[in-house]
Amino acid sequence: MLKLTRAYLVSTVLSTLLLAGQVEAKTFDIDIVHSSMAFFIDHLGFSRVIGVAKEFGGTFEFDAAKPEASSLDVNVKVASISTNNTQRDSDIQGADWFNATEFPDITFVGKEFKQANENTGSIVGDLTIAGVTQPATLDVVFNKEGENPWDKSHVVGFSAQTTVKRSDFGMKSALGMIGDEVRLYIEIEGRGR
Amino acid sequence: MGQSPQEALVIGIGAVSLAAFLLAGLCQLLRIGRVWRALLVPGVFLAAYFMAYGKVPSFPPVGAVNKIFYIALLGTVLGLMVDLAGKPRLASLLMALQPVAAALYIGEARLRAAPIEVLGAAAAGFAAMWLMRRHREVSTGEEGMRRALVLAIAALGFAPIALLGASSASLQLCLIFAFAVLATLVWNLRNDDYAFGTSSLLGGAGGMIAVVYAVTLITRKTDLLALAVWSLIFLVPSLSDRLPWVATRKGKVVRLVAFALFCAVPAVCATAIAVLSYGSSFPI
Repeated sequence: MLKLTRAYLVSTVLSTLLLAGQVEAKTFDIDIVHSSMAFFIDHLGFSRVIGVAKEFGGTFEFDAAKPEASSLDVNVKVASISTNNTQRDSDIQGADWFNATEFPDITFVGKEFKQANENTGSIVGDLTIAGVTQPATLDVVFNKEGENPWDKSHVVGFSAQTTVKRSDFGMKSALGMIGDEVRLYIEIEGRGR
Repeated sequence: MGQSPQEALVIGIGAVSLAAFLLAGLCQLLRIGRVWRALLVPGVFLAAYFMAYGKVPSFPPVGAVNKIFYIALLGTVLGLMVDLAGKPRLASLLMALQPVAAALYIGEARLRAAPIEVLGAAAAGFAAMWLMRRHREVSTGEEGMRRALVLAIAALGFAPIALLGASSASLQLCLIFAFAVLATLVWNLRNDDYAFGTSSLLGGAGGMIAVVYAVTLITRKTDLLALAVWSLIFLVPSLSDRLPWVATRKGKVVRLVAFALFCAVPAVCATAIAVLSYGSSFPI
């Protein structure tokens, strides 16, 4: 009986310690299977062409109790950008656009993390496209943090969006025809290490 | 600057060509020296770049497209200095080095992955420049006008290849440059005073070769057969000397028109090949 009581106490203490550890800043890897990046760009005012990035990755540190201490580092493979048209996808890899030969990656490094409301905030960071780095602000919604019931992994999820001007990154081709403003929509799930 | 790319292109061609035409006339009127008048060609190249890309790129340049500007600018400055100093040997050395250095500079990102392509481009650029500077000791105005015609028609011929090779900005640059160079010729049709110096070659032709490098080495969608046929333009000066219907025509204007038509043959053929082999709808 004494042994059982001791075992119960030890397991309770350990569980408490482990749970306490979960609210501290944790490093997450972006789960590509449950994350998406899409952009919308105007075509002659008639419609918005939708593009997606198929290959990206990165890590972030996050503590829901202290979001301003977070970090974020994301990398997108330019070669994986798709707009549902092979010809156009090939064209935008060229020197007038993303210049994938010289600059195969788009990166975003978070610098400043601000909480606005209970589950919203913003991330100001350096966005680098085609070798040009400009500040960008992501408007972020914190969706949920918890355990994935399937594999018991620790997961956190966010939605984010921002608007950038492609001309700020030196992409000025066909500005009269294709919009300058690019709206970005991001859905991210991170798996705790 | 225009609501559509077509409007922007027409405005760009009109503005730079008019400015080139007026400046060439002013140079004649004020009897500006040949060395300074030779700056017109690289000047219109830099203006065409500005109209096509809407910027003077920051220094140091980031990416192939921005490097083009500084290759042309440096070529212009070096060419001017060499012409002012009267150093023909140094001019020849720079003309040999510039296309090779430009290929390595623009193709830097591909040197490890595809060194043969970069070196091949450097060799082709060297050959084009060598053919352009051929008979450089002949300093007649007509010889200079022939060089300017080769450059203008090469730019006209490369424009559709660039567009179909996924570079609409290069199309704009080439067309603006070509028409502006042609505009500089008008004042010299009746005299033998056209100036096409080292700065014209290093800044104008060197800049144009850098555009071809950027489209072929970096964007990498160029139709290589069309490009090969297009490059025959640079052989026209050598071949035309042996053709009586070009070389021995009476009257300078008639000779120049015949020469231009001869230059246009590979340009038109290259355009036809690029359009016919483009396996999709026109990219607009």
